[in-house]
Amino acid sequence: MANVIEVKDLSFVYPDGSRALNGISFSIREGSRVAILGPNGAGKSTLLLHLNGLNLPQQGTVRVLERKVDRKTEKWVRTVVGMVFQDPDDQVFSATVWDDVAFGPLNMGLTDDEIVSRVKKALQAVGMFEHRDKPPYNLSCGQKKRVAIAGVLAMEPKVIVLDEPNAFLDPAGKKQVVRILENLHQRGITIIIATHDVDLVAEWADQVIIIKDGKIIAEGEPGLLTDKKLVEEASLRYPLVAQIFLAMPEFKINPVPLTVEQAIKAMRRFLNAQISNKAIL
Amino acid sequence: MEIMLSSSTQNNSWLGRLDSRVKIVSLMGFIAIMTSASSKPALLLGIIFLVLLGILAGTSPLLFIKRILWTFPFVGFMVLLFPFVVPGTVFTKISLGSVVLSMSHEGLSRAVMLSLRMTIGLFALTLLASTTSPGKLMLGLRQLHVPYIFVAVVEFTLRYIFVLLDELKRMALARKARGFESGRSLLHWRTFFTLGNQVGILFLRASNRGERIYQAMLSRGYCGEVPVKPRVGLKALDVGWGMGVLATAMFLKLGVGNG
Repeated sequence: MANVIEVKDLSFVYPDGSRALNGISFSIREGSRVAILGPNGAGKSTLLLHLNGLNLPQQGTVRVLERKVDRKTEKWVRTVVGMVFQDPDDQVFSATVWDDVAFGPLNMGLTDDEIVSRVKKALQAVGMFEHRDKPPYNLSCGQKKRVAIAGVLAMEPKVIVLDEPNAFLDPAGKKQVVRILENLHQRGITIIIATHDVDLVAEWADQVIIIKDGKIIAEGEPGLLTDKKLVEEASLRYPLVAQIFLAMPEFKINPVPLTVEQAIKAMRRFLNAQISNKAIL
Repeated sequence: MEIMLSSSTQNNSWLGRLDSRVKIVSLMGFIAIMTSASSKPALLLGIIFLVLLGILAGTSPLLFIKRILWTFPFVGFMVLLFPFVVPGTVFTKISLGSVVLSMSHEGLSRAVMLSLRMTIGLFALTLLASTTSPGKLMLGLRQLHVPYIFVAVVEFTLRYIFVLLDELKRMALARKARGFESGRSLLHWRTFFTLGNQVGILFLRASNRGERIYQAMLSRGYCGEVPVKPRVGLKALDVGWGMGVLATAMFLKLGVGNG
């Protein structure tokens, strides 16, 4: 599969002189689930804004579907890479839920019929269709978040970038968001999230990028999250499941399970082995 | 504000379904014609006409009364002042110690006229706002070629006033939680200092948020203006209603004599 996004030697300095990104390079395959991790102020949000053409590279390049992101392509990039902001109040602003989801498609200059069908589909995908006529400020935070996601979905982007998709949500709300992300993945959409939620990353991501002080310090599979040095350096913590198995080396399970599912499988294998050992004795 | 908005978004009466362009033009026309009328009975009938329309569309007459109360601090004072400052036939005198205030007929008559005209304008706008959802109202304005910048300002104000009010509420709560007592005089230095600080912070937060909102809009393809949906033709019912409202205004202005 081809790379949807390629970032090469990207650096970015804010007008006040603080360096947010310092020579970042990575590539993202089509259809993958990518998590960007790192302490507060590591440059995650700045990086995300580059993927959507909201920040243009000062040094280095960002390529989306092999086209370079610059002043000429920035509008096109925004229709390919959708961005869901951390605080839905920043994004959802129209008088009704329906109008808000229609904002992007309207900007794209689609026909009326196309807009109606896209908005409907997007609202159904996040389970907010029944609320279409409500004003967004009366919704709960989780509902607003879903409207924000629908607003991006209606533009039918190939890639969706979410900044802290789980921020401020209750457990049920988090679960819903994860389910939506899973659905989008099934449909072949590439998903990139920035988060601190290591359990979500362990459960969900294929590719993990860890950044600190504007640099990538590690990149690979979620298994990275059991690397003691790395976890400390990036101010993260082990996933809960991994904490148990790291604290009980007597199980001798390798690699260390990261998710509940992996843990159950590993424990079953361990127990079965014990039983058959006893049977031999 | 909240009550006004949420009630209007659910208005499904016949008036709520009328084309918003017709409503805007006819009610503005109604205001223009009626406020140029100089007969008090005509103005009074105009007010009754608006309230009746409101009742037919399911708007409670109480809402109209509430709106009057809102404007009272601004206009009421001026109206009260009129009889004392407009010269004319004096009909009563109030003496306050050495100062003698005289009330004139002309002043009183002008005060009544002003309040009637103001009420017409206020009621017509209340009727418009209570039977048209904000979205439809904005769309109507756009279709009438009102410059986008004005519509955008109204739209963003409507949306973000709640976000800012929430922010203000949270700040007030956080103040209280740490033992700050409000309600003291603004002349109290510490109160003044604290509130001043918070207003400043609110301004900074609003400006930061504005920046983020703008980015969120850009990322959904905004480039300065939201394209307006192609206009739909007017139905006979819409046009009929608009003409009816304007005709009523003309009839009241020309037909009802000075009383």
